[in-house]
Amino acid sequence: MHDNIDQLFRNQLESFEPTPSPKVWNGVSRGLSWHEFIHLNVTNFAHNIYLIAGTIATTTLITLATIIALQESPIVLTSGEKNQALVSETTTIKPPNQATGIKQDIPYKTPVKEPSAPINLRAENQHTTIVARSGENDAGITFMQPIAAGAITVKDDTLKKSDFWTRSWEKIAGLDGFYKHPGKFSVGLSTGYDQFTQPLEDELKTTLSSSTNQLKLRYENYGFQIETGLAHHQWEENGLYDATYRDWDTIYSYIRVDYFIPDPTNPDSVVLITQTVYVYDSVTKATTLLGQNRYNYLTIPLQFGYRIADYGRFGLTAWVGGAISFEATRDIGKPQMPSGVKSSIKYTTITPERRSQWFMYTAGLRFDIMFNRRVQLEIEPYYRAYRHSLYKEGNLSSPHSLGINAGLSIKF
Amino acid sequence: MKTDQSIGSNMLSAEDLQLIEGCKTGKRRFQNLLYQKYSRRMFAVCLRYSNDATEAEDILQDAFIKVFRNISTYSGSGSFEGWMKRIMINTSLSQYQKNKKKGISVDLEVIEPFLSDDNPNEDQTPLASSVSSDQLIGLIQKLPEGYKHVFSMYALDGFSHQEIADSLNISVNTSKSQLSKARKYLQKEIEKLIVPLR
Repeated sequence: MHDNIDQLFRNQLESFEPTPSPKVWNGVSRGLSWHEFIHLNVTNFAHNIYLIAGTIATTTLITLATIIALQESPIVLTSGEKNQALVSETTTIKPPNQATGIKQDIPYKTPVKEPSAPINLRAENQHTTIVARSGENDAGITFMQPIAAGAITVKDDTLKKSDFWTRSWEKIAGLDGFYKHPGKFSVGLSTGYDQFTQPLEDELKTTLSSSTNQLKLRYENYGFQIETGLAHHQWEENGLYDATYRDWDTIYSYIRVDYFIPDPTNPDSVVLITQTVYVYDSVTKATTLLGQNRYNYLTIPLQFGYRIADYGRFGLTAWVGGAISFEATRDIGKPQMPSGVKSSIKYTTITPERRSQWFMYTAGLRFDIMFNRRVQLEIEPYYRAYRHSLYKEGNLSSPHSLGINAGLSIKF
Repeated sequence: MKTDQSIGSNMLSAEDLQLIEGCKTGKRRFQNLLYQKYSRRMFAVCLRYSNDATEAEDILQDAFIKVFRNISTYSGSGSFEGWMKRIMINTSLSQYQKNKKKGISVDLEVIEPFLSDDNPNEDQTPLASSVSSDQLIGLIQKLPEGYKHVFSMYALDGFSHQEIADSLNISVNTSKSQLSKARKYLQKEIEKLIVPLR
């Protein structure tokens, strides 16, 4: 009985193949995309080479920019620092002849501020006293002269520990004395990651990830920005082929009686000694082959933005725009043959033809951090909506993509 | 323990080999083709270990993500379908353990009334093959969690009582007892289904 029950279930469920809903594949695809996003696929090094190269280049640029920024940091006097902001510059004036009767230039020193960096005394000046003495040169001209380095005395007795974070943040943010280069043009380089989703029939989706490298040219005036440039991105996709080939296979089998012997348990019967014989022949088989295709696209964006927040070194810009994309090159890989099949294979591609020209709408945000007066780091998350589907034929819905770019730009 | 060969063919076709190699490179197209090929068979497995189709789809989704993430660890020596099936079963068992922690399980009393030994036809009831696969799956899903797993693992997937005991963290005797009760319950329910046919 137990075997009956088990057997019934085994027999009935052996060929039971219900179809799961399409949302399962979408969930699998989404789960894998997230996994790939946070874990670089080391087995697919070629695909990630641009991302890796871009990351190395960006890291190097950031390091260099940081070094430059440290060298060009605005001078902020703190307690105990001596008067480095005030420097002397030697100039020459001609004294009035009636004062001395001597016709010669008289050198003297005039206190001036260093032109490239403003003095920031705001935080300390309530306790700072600049003591200067009057002097008189040989010509009898009275002028003010700093008495010596260290003439600025700073009292810090009211500085509390709790001020540390405020003061540090102000210094980091550059709220005290940091100022940007007045140039309106900037040029930048960025690299990024784009996750493209093309809806398919039956609620399926295909997702493609690509690395992007971009050259940016931007003009900014009163917070309004207009930007263009040139971007390159590369996609890899599997080509699909229907193929037939000839192969040896069993076409039928039969049982051959070789000989028989008397049945030891029943004298009235015999035991047949048989052998199963398999008959082979050359047959045509069908299979699906896959090949690797690679597409390179060039994109020209045109986007408009407005700086919606500006906080010392930090800024936030919202932008919208459009872009046109052209297929630059395509490398159609040969299909990989199934193992053991050397010849007489015929295949036809069933990969839909890709569109070679696209138009897309884009919107995004740009977070920027100034390293120094000219150089800034930019991070841009964005959303893109494409006007047409990935493929030329069919009535597939328009795809969309989400991505993020990071890079550096320099003001001129 | 029965090896992977016992729960799937050991032969890897050229197409399977190509799909597996493609999946190892992380290409979505290969993954989709592999999914299209095996999802229905694997869904049938998940249905047996879950309470309803929604839960089975969740298990199927999680298990396929595990398959694709770990496909590089598949050596190629055993049956690929068997290897996938083990992942489906293991994922189902993990879900079962989670449900147990949350206290989501059907009490034994649900099926106790069906388990009385007063069935005079126990050894000679003919089992009609007219009962559909959907109905049989429904009966398995009605079983309490532990019973369901023991029955599926032993009767359909070829696990031994010792393996079931280790997997479900129960004793061998409990496994045997639950299998017996599950069979009795299923027997009763099948009789109910085939009565109208007589």
